[in-house]
Amino acid sequence: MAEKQMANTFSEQVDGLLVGQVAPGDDPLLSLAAEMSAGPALEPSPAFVQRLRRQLLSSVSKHATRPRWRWSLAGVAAMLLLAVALALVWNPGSPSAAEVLARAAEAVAIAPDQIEYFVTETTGAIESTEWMVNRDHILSPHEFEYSYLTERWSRGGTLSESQLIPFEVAGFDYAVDDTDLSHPLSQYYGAFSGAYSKFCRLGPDPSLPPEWDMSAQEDSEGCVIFDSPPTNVFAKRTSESSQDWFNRLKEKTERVEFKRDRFNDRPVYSLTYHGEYTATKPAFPYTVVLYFDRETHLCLGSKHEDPHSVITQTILDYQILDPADLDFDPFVWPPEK
Amino acid sequence: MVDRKLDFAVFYDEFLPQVYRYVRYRVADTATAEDLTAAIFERALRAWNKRRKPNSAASWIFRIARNTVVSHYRWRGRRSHVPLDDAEGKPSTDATPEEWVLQTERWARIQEGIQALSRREQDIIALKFGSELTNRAIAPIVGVSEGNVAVILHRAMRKLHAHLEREQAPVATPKRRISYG
Repeated sequence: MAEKQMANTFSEQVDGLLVGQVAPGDDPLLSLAAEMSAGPALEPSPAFVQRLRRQLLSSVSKHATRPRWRWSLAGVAAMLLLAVALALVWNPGSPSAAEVLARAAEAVAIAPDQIEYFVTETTGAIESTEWMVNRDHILSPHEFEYSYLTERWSRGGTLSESQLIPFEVAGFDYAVDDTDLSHPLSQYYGAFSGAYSKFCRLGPDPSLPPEWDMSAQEDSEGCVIFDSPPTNVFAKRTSESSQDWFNRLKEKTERVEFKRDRFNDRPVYSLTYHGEYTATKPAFPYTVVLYFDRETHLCLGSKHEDPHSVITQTILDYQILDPADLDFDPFVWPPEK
Repeated sequence: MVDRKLDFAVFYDEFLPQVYRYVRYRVADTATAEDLTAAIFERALRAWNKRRKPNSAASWIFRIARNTVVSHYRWRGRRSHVPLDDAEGKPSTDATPEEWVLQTERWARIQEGIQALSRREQDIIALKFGSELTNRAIAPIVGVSEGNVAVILHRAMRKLHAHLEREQAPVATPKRRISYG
């Protein structure tokens, strides 16, 4: 019997076991499944269920019944003075930018054979009033707003046995409301090393208007190859692991602004750095803000801003996978039909 | 706001037991399972009004649960936990003390075997035997097709069975240390 058929039959039998309609018989796997389905009662205690229920529902009520404050001028002034005094005197345990970056890098540290997996939501607005040409894009005058979800796997990019492993990235783009990630709009693959960069895509790039379609430059497999690493700040970010990125920023903390902030209604530390994009004439400045959860120091998202665009990226899911966790190879290009 | 509260209360009552059992399958002890379950539902409450697809509530809450467990292990170090420590999930209702001890030991071995599986295999086992979800419900949570869930579950169970078979091989009884003088 083919493995798939055996697996389906087994699953049906397990479902039967779980509802008490199937007996395990002599099948050792089914007997084990029966043991696991009848195993220790891992039910939550009634006390925990009630406690958490009260806690959650009272927090909904608190928001509903929160009184509106009537601020007097004197009250505002007093509160401001108090806030300033507290900020000056009381700043316990506030980590530095370098510490937050170090912890963020530690959280995403991966072994050479491990794979980073992200799901991000990107929203952006591009406004260009004149023609711009750079190595990565030819931009006609345009205004364009977009948002989409991206699923991305990446690996490599670290030194191993004195050799640089090319950094590979692969993934799919989805419509922003396709939260089940079930209908890809496009599929992409990139490989980057110190000497070259290769980028392949099937389907439109949702971050670019159709007029800026780069497909004319692509070969029959949908790939464009450059004989240098990427220079565009966004493309550069795409070509390295999160760990490498945070470690690189850690070396530049004297150039960043670091503060308590909020991102998508969550308390965060924000880290802002300024740079200049020199691949175009004239060069133009850009700002990148990274947002780190205040408790875990995990990166929750980023914002890129320059005179022509504002792009916000929110990390919806992040995992470090072992190759065995995947039942397919996302880095095969052209993709298997 | 009342509607929101009622909706969330219904959602909580429906999913708490399943989510808790999934988490309990994945972590060492009751206290951690309770902390993580509370964190999962707090996160769900914060995002309650931002959901785009209210009809896929099951996939949504289990994805939050899965990410919360992954984050927990990321900070604590992967697979650092001792299997089914407290065994205070009582093995079965009518067990004698001897049966209780045997079942607890057997469960500890099963948990050890589960810990040796890949993260995805552990997830599928926890969602199947902890939360008692169908393969169709598990598929969007772990991001594979329904058919692949069946294949991964079957392979995982074969690996687990092989692990338990190896464990059952006779082990030499440790010699008692005798101290002289």
